[in-house]
Amino acid sequence: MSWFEAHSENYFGGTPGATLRAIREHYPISLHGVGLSLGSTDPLSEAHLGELARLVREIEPLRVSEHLSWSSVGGRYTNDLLPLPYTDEALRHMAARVTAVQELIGRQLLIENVSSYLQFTCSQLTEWDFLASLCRETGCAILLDVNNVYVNACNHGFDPYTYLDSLPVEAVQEIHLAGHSVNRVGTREIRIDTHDRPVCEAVWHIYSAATRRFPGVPALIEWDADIPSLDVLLAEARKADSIAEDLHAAAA
Amino acid sequence: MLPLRELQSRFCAALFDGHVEPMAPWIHTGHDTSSGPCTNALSAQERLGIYRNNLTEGFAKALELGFPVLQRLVGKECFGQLARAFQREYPSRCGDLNRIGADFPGFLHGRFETSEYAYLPDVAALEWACQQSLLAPEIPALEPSALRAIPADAYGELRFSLNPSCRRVRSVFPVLRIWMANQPGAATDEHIDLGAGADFLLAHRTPEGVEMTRLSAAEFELLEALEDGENLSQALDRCRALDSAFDLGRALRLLISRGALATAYLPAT
Repeated sequence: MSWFEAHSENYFGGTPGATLRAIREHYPISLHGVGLSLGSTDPLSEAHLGELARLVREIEPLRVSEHLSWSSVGGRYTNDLLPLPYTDEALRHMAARVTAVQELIGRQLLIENVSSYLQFTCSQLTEWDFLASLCRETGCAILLDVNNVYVNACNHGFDPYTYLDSLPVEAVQEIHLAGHSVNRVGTREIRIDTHDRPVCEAVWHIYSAATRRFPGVPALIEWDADIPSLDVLLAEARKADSIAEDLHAAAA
Repeated sequence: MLPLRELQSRFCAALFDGHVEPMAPWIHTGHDTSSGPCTNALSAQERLGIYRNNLTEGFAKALELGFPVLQRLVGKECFGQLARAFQREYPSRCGDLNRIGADFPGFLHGRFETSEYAYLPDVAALEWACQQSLLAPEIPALEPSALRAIPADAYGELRFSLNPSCRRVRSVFPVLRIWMANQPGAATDEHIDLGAGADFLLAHRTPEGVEMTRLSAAEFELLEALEDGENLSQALDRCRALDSAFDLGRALRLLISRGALATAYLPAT
């Protein structure tokens, strides 16, 4: 293990971070938020931002990330990562919010692409153009979830490699990998991001391409439901490492 | 073009309130593929249904994590129904799922107060106290030596701040026995007499987790009086009203040994 990732919200409210601090003494930490509701048209939660800023000061993480999504409106929270319409208005809104958060915590944010199960008819941009534009406008970086790229490519019918090739190389600073499930509705199917099983072959292939386009970027396996034995988890992590290393060896 | 605010409002109305129609026209129902028939031409209703399912399942799972004893008592199916009803009345109001259970004991009280299951809200209150204890900020506990610096004739004026990792729970039912009998690995066939007496409990955090201490009614009153901001003299009056033989020194030592007190202070003169 060379670094650890923690959900920021699990250490909010002054919750004792003894374990996190003990890890921090020996390893870099990536703080990964799931509850900021960045894309919402409600005002940013000052309480949430205050907690995040406090945690960033205390832990001094290597990276701080959130999602290209929204989760609440009118004060009601779904506590889910809901898709944005990829419109000029949403881009301006998201850019203003990312800028506000980056200024408040004094750090660059990484923004992660999410899995989605629908697309809005009013979208004017592709997801990858939206994400690349967001980086240009705010100086934020990208947390590229390769599984989410594949899930969306299947669900919405695009080429995952086009997605990868459209992202600015220097912006991608972390990669996520995960397993997903396939839900069948009659003869039709839709892929759901579940983090409850091994990474599938197709996602390993895309990851291999990602390690070529974004060399040296650290990767993380997300497996947070039906968690298997540590051996199985470590084997997945080693597989990710070996794909990246093979590439390195081939290039040398 | 649907403004972002309007789109988000309609989306949430579809998820929380089932008002799918205003949102449906703004959702693609399938995609064209060059390589054969479209495999995922789902309707707007079906697509929104995935998010509605995530909403209820995610909420129920988070609630289960915080209230495992309650779930064990009522069963998985009933717990799921309670979680859905609770979510309809008290949707999550923040981005942190650890906080959604705050109103759950009160919600259960409204449902079960007059029923034969009137102990369930108190079990939930105990479980919420455990969660709050675990999630409370780390504050140094009051050291016994801090009291030695105080002149004896000033004791009556002394006030205390309480440690946020200590939580009080009282019940007319023996909730601690119910709680203990439903911990993982506990014997499942224990018979508990609901009339076996009231519980006055202090939940406090240790390095291993949350521990429970059973208090007397007067000791519980002391904790409550100090939390109300009463000085020791006023608090003692309240305790003596319940127990004329109340031993204040012993009770204070107990609270201090459990880390229930944080600071002691005298009014500024």
